[in-house]
Amino acid sequence: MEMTDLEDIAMQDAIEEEEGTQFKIDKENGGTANSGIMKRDLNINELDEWISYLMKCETLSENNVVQLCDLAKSILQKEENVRNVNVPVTICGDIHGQFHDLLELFKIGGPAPDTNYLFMGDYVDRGYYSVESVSLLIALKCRYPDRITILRGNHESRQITQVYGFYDECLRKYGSANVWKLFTDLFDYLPITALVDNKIFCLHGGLSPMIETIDQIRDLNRLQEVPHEGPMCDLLWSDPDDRGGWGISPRGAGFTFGQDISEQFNHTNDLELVARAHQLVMEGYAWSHGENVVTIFSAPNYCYRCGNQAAIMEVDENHNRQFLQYDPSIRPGEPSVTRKTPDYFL
Amino acid sequence: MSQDLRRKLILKQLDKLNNNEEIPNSNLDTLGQLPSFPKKSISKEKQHTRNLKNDALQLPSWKDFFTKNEVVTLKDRNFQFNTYFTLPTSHKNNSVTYSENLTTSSSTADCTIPIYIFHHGAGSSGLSFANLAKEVYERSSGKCGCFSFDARGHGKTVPIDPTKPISYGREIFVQDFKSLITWFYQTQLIEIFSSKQNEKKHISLILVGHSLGGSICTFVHPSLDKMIRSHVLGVAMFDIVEEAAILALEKVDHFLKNTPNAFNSYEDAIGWYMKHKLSRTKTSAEIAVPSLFAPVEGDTSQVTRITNLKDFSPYWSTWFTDLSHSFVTLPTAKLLILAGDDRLDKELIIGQMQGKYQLVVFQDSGHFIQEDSPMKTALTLLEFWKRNDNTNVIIKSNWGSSTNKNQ
Amino acid sequence: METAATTTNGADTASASNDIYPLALLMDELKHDDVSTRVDAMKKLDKIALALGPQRTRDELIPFLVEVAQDDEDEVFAVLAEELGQFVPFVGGAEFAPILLPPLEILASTEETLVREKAVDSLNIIAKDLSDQLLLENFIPLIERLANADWFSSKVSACGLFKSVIYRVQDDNLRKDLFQLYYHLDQDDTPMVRRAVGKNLPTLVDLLVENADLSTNQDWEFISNIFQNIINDNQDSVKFLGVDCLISIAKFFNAKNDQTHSQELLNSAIKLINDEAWRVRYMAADRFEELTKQFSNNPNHLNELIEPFLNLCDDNEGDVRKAISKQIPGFAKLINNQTIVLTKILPIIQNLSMDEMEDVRSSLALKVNDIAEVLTKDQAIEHLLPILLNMLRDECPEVRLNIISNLKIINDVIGIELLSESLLPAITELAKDGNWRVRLAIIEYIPILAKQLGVEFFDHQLSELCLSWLWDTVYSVRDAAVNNLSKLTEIFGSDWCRDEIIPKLLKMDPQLLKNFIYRFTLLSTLTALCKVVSPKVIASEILPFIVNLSTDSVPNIRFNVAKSYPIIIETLREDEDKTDYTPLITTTIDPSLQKLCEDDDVDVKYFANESLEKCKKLLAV
Repeated sequence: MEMTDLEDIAMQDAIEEEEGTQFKIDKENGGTANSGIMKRDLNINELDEWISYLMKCETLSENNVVQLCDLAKSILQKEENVRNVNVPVTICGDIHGQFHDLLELFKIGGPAPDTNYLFMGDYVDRGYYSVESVSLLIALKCRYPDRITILRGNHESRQITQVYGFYDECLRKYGSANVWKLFTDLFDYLPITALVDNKIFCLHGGLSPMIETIDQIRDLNRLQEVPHEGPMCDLLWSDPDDRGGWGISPRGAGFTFGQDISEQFNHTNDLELVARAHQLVMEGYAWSHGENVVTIFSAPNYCYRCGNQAAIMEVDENHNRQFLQYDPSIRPGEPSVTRKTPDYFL
Repeated sequence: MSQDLRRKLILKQLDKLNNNEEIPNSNLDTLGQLPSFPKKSISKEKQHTRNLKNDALQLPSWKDFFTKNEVVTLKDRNFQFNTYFTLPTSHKNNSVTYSENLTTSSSTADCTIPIYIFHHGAGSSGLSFANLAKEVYERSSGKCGCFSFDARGHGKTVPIDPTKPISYGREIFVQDFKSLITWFYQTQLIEIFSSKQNEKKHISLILVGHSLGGSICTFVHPSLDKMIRSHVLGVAMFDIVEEAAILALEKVDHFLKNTPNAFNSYEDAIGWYMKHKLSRTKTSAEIAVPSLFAPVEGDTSQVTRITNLKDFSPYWSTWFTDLSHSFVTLPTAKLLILAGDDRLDKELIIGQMQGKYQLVVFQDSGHFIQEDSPMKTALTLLEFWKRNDNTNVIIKSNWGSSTNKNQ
Repeated sequence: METAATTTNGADTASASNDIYPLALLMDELKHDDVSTRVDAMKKLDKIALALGPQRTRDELIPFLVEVAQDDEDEVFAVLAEELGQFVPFVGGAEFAPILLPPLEILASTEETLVREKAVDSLNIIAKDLSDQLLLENFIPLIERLANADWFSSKVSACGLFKSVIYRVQDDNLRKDLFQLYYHLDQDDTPMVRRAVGKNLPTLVDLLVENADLSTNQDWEFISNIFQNIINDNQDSVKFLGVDCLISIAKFFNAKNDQTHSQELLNSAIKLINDEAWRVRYMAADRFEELTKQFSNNPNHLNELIEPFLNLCDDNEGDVRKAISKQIPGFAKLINNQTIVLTKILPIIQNLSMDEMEDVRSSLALKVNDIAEVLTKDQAIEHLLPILLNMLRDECPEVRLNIISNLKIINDVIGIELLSESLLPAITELAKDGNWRVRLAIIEYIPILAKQLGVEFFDHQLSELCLSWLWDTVYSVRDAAVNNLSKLTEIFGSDWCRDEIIPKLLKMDPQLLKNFIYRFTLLSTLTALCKVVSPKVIASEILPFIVNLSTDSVPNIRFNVAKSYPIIIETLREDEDKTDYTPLITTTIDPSLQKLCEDDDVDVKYFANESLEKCKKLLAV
């Protein structure tokens, strides 16, 4: 941490003050009998306020992020590795900090909590508003734990976010890496898969050669940084492929799996479908392996330049599925990030 | 003063030494001839003691990084190419010094032998890869091979007949590279797997290019002979993105204006490169930077730049066109290492988001990834080979083990 | 953080030795290996200056910054250049401001455009604070030095500084010298400098417009020469700046009511409009209305612009056509001649409305409706309407959207009846448009249409359509459809809603209602209508249906039922007939809400409890 001495003193005071309030809050929460519910009640008005604030693409203060992540942690740590989700639900893919397109998604699919949502990870990195996007989704999760499900994507990781923008964005918007640390610590608690009405298996990446049954996922210890290999890594990194069987992923992590694998997995686990995100698909969604696997990608014109449509999948209470495709939101020009052109020539 | 004098003296002797060694080779038309299989690599201990004995002013030589320095005369290309290489020495021991992937089991006996073929970027030289080649070789316990060379217009590569017109278009570089790969394959590599000891061994070629070299690696792949291409395991590009590169071309004039072409000594040149962060690792700069300069005639330690980048300007437009699309669609394993930022263009982003290639970003590295982060790069390259080595990777699966539902 | 202890003491005692600490720390950070640290340090420059006080800022900090300005990375320079613009108070006020000029002069000479621009901005800010004398003694020499430097970057910066001095120089000779210097820059070899001259000339001329009595003929001779050079430059990127220069110059003479140069300027304008370089033509097209305005006091001159205008509309370059498309109505208004509009301009609009490029058509659609203002009703119906109807069927959604969003103007001219008659087929078609924003735009237009059309026509033609939007796949369209029905009820009355809408809603296809989205929409619609229909209708039609939904299998429906109750109660309480609905509330809403308060779902429970509170309050009043 680098700061001038003048600021240093002010900061010291602020920290002391903050610790004081922090302590008070903890005591209040700890003192109530049904702490889970009470904690929520205590914060509901504030949460509603934060959500309406975040909806305007504003950032929360660092103190509020501390509180938010704290609350989110208490909610998420109770969720299983395989989160059970009821129908109806609207299933969404990658967001990647494209905040205005996330708002567009709500315009298409309906606002929370009226519509139930399941997000399959990759909220941060690459887009310019990762902080706002992930703050909003976590705030919604805290406010409506039963209406919103947020899974972990391969970008919800300390290592990846340092390379692809979230870390830098936190630094830029908060002046320090504290908020990045709060969020990435929280990411460890995100569930890694969801099971919609026991029929649709949702996850960010794909299948793993180490995971034949969904029960095997329940035994994993997910409270860790996304590993470089092994079943948890695969679930967040793998892709379906035209070739049969298991293959080496060109990405350098996870595997590719063929139609035979998907069919067997769905059969073994009595599933209708595997829904996943992770790959950019030009139409916003794409079927593969017959209708055994669907890819959903919810960041239109990805990185503000790929020209792809986005999509979400509505599943109604009778398991009817409807895909809604959408284009980038109309918005005032994105801030142009002027990057120094490298002296590439050499 | 006295130190300075001594340095000059040493430099001169060194130059003589190098020249002496190269003269016999440079007269050889090596195409088609099979030089003898290298004895063991030059004794490292000996090198070390020599380095220790001399003071810090002693600059390293190619010998500290490669086992061979051959001049390859390719008449149909009208060039004598200055090449460096190291052939794999220990084939029996396949242990490598990085952790084994849990889900991939490689029965070590079935591993291919990785051969890394490097192509440097514009204005650089074959020794830009020196430190990296050494790292890869050592980290694989001498199991892999490395080949690097000075492209036309660079380093010690010279035209046979300088009066003939010389082009620097991408296709020309690609043809040079293709010819050299063929030469290397036919004269050096065939030895390895035709020798009894390695009867069942196969080699894997990994084409590795920095900047312009990355473009050349991508475009040489489809043009290689079928036989050779079947041995190519993958293509790796270092810090090159079509869109950014084309943008950067517009700034070259500015860059050249601020880049001196002469220095009072090799040390000054190294110092300047370090100061301006064009090279960030001293050990790399010490071998790579001097290779860009030639001593000025006469009794002086002055050196001047060999490559005049301005000469290339008519060809710039050919260098990177359609690179991203071509790279993403190459029918082989692909690795892209970027320095600093993730600044992909549209084709590369779509490719990456569809899982078409592996992207690695070294944030703390400068443009010359192989020089700035040789160790990390070596590990990445070995990992890349290992992952994609089709002959040995068996994907371990526990499917069927936990339940008996197999149909 | 390790410095916290020592600095706390330091701040308390404010001893001299500790005072230099911030500067030392800053200098340390400015020498840090990491650029971002140096950038951050630079951003704190104002705080450091404040801590040091004016004297030491001048004596220690500024000299140090002069050094920094000579050896660092562009990122650091950029911040430094910006910071220095705010530095006048930190060095002790305007009288000491000249001390800030040297570091900025260095920065204004760097090669990186961003740094240079920031330095020039800061210099211009500081110039405002300088007294005339300081300006004369310090600032003008600085401009002269930059303008006479060898390197193009300094000269480019010099061009951006004239605007701070030109209007403040009262001495005609000195001002002439400055214009001569500017003229000299205009003759530079590098296009970058000439471009900077062209870019800044309009600002300089505008300043002379504001100070009309300031400039002399001598000044104008230079300006005129510079202008001629710009419009005859061999580089397009310089030449195209001539358009803005011309507009500014013409404005000056118009302000003085001096018409002697009018013909000459018109000739230059026509030359630019017909230039062979498309970038120049593009610029002329983009500014066409503004350009035409400068000649609007002479009808002959205006007429001379018609041919060039038509040429631009027919340009080979799509970008030129795109730019001129937006200028057509403005130009037509200035021409103010119906024959020309009918015989020349409308045919060209017809052509552009079928242009092969989407961008051109979309740009035309943005403003084309405005042309109605210069037409009579009959002319608009005969000539404009067919074009618009055609554009409403354009394959590009943006074209359709742009036309729909601006229908009001047409409406004002030709009247809603005719418009709706011809529009109806188009609306029906657009109601099914693939782009949801087009559907949305149509829905939002319906209440205006309904008001004009009257109930009968509406029931016949549009009520089915309005209901069908409720079942759209996109939430926002459904939501707009709900609002649309309340607005229509406001227009046509509660009885209309009871007779025409509610029965149709309640007789919804049960198959459709199996999907919770439609039940949800129905619930939203009925709740929204509660605010606009009579309590009687609520009590007899709506309430039973909503109470029925309180046992829906989907929690989202249940908590929205809970949310609906207070709204219903509120309207029932406000009944004008003073009917007492309390018994109804206690027998229907009350038990239902009580039950919802005990729901298994957390959110249902929460919203039910919230509603219960609201209801209690409402009933207590």
